[in-house]
This record gives sequence, structure tokens and C-alpha cells, in this order.
Amino acid sequence: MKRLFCLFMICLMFSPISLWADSITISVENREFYPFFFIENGTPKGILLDMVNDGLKPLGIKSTIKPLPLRRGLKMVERGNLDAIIAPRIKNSNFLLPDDAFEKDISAHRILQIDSVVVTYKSDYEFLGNIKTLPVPIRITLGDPIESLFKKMGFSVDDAASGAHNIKKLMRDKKGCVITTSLKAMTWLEDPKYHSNIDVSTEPVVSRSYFLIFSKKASIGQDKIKQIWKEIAKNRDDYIYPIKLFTAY
Amino acid sequence: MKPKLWFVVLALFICNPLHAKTLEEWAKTFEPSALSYEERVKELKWFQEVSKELAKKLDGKTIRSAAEHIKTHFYERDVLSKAFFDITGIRVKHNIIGEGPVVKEIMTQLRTGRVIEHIYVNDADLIGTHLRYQGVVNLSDYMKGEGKKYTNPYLDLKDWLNLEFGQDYSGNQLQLPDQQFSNLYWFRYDWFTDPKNKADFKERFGYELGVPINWAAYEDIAAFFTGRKQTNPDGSTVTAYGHLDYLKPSPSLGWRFTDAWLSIAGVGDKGLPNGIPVDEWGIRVENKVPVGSMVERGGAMNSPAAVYALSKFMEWLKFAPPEAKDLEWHTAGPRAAKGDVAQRIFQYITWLSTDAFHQKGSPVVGKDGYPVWRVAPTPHGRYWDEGMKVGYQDAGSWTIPKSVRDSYRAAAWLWAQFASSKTVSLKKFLVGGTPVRKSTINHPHIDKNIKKWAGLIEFYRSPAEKKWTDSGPNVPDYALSVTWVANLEKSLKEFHNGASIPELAQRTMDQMARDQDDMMATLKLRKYSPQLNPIKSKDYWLKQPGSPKPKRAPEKPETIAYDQLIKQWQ
Repeated sequence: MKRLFCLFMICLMFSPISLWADSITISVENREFYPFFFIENGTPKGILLDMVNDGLKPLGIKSTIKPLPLRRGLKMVERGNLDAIIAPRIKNSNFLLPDDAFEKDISAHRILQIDSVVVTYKSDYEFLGNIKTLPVPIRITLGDPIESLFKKMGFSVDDAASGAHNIKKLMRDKKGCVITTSLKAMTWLEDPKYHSNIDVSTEPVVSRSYFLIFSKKASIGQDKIKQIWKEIAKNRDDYIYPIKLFTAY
Repeated sequence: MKPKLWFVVLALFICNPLHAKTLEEWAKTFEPSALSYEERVKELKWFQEVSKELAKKLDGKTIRSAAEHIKTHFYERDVLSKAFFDITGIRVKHNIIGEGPVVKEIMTQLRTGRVIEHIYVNDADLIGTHLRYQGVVNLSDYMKGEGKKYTNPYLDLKDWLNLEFGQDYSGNQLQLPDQQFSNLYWFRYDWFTDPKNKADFKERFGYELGVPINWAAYEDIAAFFTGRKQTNPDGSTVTAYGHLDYLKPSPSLGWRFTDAWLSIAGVGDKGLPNGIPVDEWGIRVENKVPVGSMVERGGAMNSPAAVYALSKFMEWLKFAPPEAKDLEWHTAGPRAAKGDVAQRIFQYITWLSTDAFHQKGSPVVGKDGYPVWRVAPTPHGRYWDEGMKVGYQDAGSWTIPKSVRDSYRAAAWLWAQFASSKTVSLKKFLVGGTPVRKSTINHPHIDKNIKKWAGLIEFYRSPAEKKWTDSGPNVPDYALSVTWVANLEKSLKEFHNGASIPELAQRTMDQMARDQDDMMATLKLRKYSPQLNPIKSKDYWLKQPGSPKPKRAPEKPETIAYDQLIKQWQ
């Protein structure tokens, strides 16, 4: 009996991780992208993380979140050192994304669609979709992948550790713009410090679908991965779930 | 000319703005109208002038609006958006989607700030949500300030029907009604006035067959007609149903109840528009703050009146066509036009403009070309008291989220005003049957054709119309209606499996009230956020005056002759 037990334990130790523990490691960017992801007192938090964890819950899967710079996170997922990453869609043969991720502008299996808008100092300027008209300097948060879009167009960007730094600079310099999420922009518009001095564009500079992208070497099977995406989508499209989700931020 | 060249010329003609109508041509198209031709030209020229700069700025951009799938909005999409573009140069994409998706989209936009649409035709039932989220443009402020330049000098807000549906507690206009729809009692006037039916009914029930004033009479009439052979003006003979309803699991099942069914039963308190302090959803509100739905917190959602409302909904299904279980609000809407339904307690007038109710040869249209059906006041339930709202009506209303700013906001506002302008409103009503202006329903063209609407015009012209109201400002978040759907779905499953009705109804309403209170407790809203009362015994609250009301004995059935009743509306 003792020998049988030892054999069982050895088999268990060498079996794929998903057989004995439903736990996955997920990377998220370590920059401030409030309220979607951010770090508070050393702990990663945010709406996207909540949505992912709530999608994992019914399947009994636990997650460990590792905040990393985007490129590093992607590399680790590619190699299979991490199971998944929360990121916009990226084509890579080592990644697993929902089938419709590249077919549609807005995938049914995304976590959430997030728009970035333009915040300017109050003036006659209105951003109507032409990036070339953006007032400079363009301020973004450090590590935002949107930087590559501006660099491609020959713009230099001014990056700061957080949106809070950027809005303060905009108020100080009274010129240029800040690129931020529509949700963050809304909070500035409601802040009496900024309310009457800023304009926020209706048109987004960029609208991105965020996904839970898995490594092909992930420790859980593809069926489970599809179930996770389904659970996330179900919550997102629910009438009640978003009330509780957004109330928390 | 070579055939290929002909083809190119023809294609260019069809696809290009060359095909566009001039302002004067459009002014002629909108006939009949509350305005003369000259006045229409003047109003349309104002739209043209004010849009010039804006159209140039928005060159190549499209204003996105969303509305539910009813005839009125299809007309806006197919005719008015084209007219608006021809006149102003501003392109509009009027997306027609279901009411459920409209609510989902606007709520997503309010929560995330993401611009999905630039403007919505969103039911004013959401006014309680909007005034608490503070996420939509205050149109009163906008008209006076930033949007003054873009506000039509001929708008004439006094001409609006039920403008207050879109107002917050302080009278600020957060939503501008675009189309009104009431929910009325519908019945077969020809069958109700048939001498044999009248004699047989009197013999069986001891009182006259007529428009039911209360639910007891409605029930008798439903029992009387169900299974009875009746003939239609088209010569067909049918086995009649005494009732029509719908219960397919869908968001519309929730609206079937939130659209004042509890209030019609008598759940709420006296006081217009919604009942004070307990409203038509059974929510108790103190100083604009919702404090509970459960009787144990002073609400009435699981009160004897609410249990009675759900019980009658279930009991009466035996009088309805069997397909009721597969119907939703939009499939049930035109169903009575098939000619085998005697009466319907809960008919949205939105559907009465469909051809089925009006075209010659329809089983519900007489040989003279006029309907043999009529609309009348909603019968009251046992718990209803004089001074309460009588029924439900609402207005699909133009709503601009705050995330839509500057040029987009101005263009969206112009589109809203154009689509409900005096120039176009009468024509829009003739197509969709959902009025928005007094000048529409009081127009001589309507007088001449009043028989066509079978009582609807008399309703809108009557002061009694003010007793039909929407879900008022007390409902803190319209998403609460989801708890109704979930519980009703579950309850109907048990009902189909033979559960005993009063116990099932009590269980369902208890759960629903608990769920609604649980949800309200989690809400953190910017204004008037719910703060629940502590739990007390049911007895304590049932002994207090008003709602929640203690159990009542069955009422005496009462009816009234339609011709006498309609005089009250005239």
C-alpha cells in the first residue's frame, strides 16, 4: 500500500499542473491605467483584474497576478513562463486568443473595450479623429503601448508615471494634451480643480479590446480557456454585474 | 451613348446627393403638418443656416443615434435622417435595435464614458437612473448656455405632451420626449355591443357587458368570451379568447410588470404621478431617497396587493391563446389583430398603428374601413384607490450622454429637435401612431379622421391622460428590473409545473423584494442613493395608513358602456 501511495505521489508530481491544481499565473502591465489596472500599496488592482478573476471563479481556478512591463509579460507568456496576460490583441503563433479576436473590431470574447480620449486645455480646439492635429506635447503614462502609434507618425511623447502627473502638467503649461481613458477623463471633468479648464474629446484616439491572452503552453487546457472567455463575456453582458463592478471604482 | 455609360450615369443618379431633395421639396413632403408650408420652410431654413459651420467641421463624420424597433423610429431612420442630411449636411446613422440593447448600450456608455452612440431614444422610465448617475446632458442648462445657438427658436416646449416624463425632481429636462406610447385597455367594440352577447352575459353574470372598470369585471368578461364562437367583419368565425398576454422569458417580461402592473393592481400610494411615498414599483421613497421594497422596510413589493397582481397575471393565462408562452411584448403587440381576442387589459398603443389593425379585409376592420376595436381606460385592481395613477404610458426620449461633447453634442441635439419638430411631427404620427406634440393630436386632419384611432385621440386630448404615467424618478437604477425578470422566469416554470398560485405568487414577490433591496443596498449613486430602512415586522407597516395595504376582500364587478365612457374623455 505504501509503495502504491509513493507511486501515486510521483505520478502526481510529474503530471501537468492543471490536473492537480487549478491555478494560473497572469501578467498585467505594471503601469497606471486607472481604473482598469493599477497598483495600490504594492497590490495589483482594477476592473480588468476583477473581471478576469470573476470569470475564473465558477471554474474553480485561482490566479496569481504578476505586474510586469507589457513587452516582458508578452515574452514570458510566449515562452510559457506565464499562463496568460491581460493585453490588447496581438498576433503571435504562440498565443491563444478567441477565434473572433481578429475578425471583428469588437470581439464578443474580449474582456472590455477601452477608449483613450484626448484631454486639452480649454480652447477652440476639438479633436475630430485626425491625430496630426493633436496639440503638443502629447502626454501619456509611462509604458502605454499607444506610444508606438505616435512615434510612427513622428510625434515625440512626454510620458509620466501617472495620469495625475500629466493633468497637472497640462494645467501648468496650458498647452498640449493628455491621452487617457474616457473613464479617467470623466473623473477630471467632475473635479472642480480641472472642470472649467479642460476639454475632453468625444472621438477616441484609439479604441482597444482587452483580452485574456493565453500561452499555448498554458497549464490549463483549451476547453477550459474557452470556458473562461465565455464566463467573462457572460458577466460583461449581464445587466447586474457591471453595476457592482463599476460601483467599486 | 454606349450602354455602359448609361449604366454609370444611372448609378451616379441613384447613389449620389444629386438625388437629394431641396429644402422646399422636403417642406412639401411633410404635409400634413401643424405648420403651413411657409412656416415649414422657415423652420427648415433655420436648421440649414445653423448647421452650416457644424457640417463643415464634421465633414465625413456621422452622428450615431439608437432607438428601438418600432415604426416611428424606422420612419426617422428611412425618411427623417435623409431629410436632415439633405437640409443640414449632417449625416446621421439612426440604428434601430431592441429596447434591451438600447438600455444596455446607454448604461455601458454612462459607466465607462465610452462613446457608443452620440444620442439615444431612451425611455423616460430611466429618469430615476439618469438623475442619480448624473451621466446625461442637462438639456435645460444646455439650451440656456452652450447649446443656445443650436436650439430651435420654433421648438415650443409648451406644445409637448408629458414633457415632465423627462425631468428630474427639480424640473430639469434630462430627456426630451420623441414619441409617446400609452398602455390602454383594448376590446372588440363589435362583440361587446352585439345584442346576443349582451343578453347572454347579463343572464350569466347579472350585470351589463361593457368596458370593465375593475379587474373583477375583466375576469368575468374573459371567462365569458373564452371558447365562445364569434364572427368577424371579414366573415370569419373564430373560437374567441377572453384575454391576451405574453410570458416568454425576456427583458420584456420584466417590463410587463415594471410598466405599472403592480400600480394598476393598486400596490402604490395615492398621489400623481407615481404615488407618494410608495410608488408603482412598490418602492418606498423618503425625501427622494429609496428606502425599501420589502413590506418589512415600508415598501410594497411583496404586499398583499403585489401578490394579488402576480396571481391574476397567472390565473388569467387560461383565458389567453396558448402561444402566449412564446410571445414577447413586440410579438404580442399586433396579436389581437388576428381577430380571435375579445379584450386585452395591457395593450401598448405602439402596435395599434400596424397595418394588421387598420387595413381593409383585416378581421378587426369593419366594412366601412374603420376599426371594430376600441381603446379605453385601464381597469383597476382590487387595491386601487381614487387619487392613484390609473395606468402606464411613457415616452421614448432623446438622451445625450455627457461623454458626447462639443460639435457632436450640438449635431446630436439638432437631430433630436429636427426629428420632433413641428414641421415633421404630424407626418411622423400618421406613420407610427405615437404622438409627441399637442399640435399633432389637436390638428384638423386628426379631427377629420378621428374614427381611425378608435379612442386614442380622445385619450390624449383628455385631462385624464395625466393619470397614466411612466416609471418615475424614484427608481434608482432601471437595471433593478432584471431582478424582476429572473424571479418571474423561475416562478413561471413552477407555475407550469402546477404550483399553487397564491403561495407561489407570495414566494416570488418575497424573493423579488428581497433581491431588489439587496441590489439597492449595493448602489452608490451620485444623488439620492438608496439608504434602506431597518427591518420591522410586516404587521407594523400593514397597520400604517396607505401602502403597503392589508389584504382586501374581492371587489364587486363593474362595467360601463363605451359610448358613455368616451364622453368622459371628450
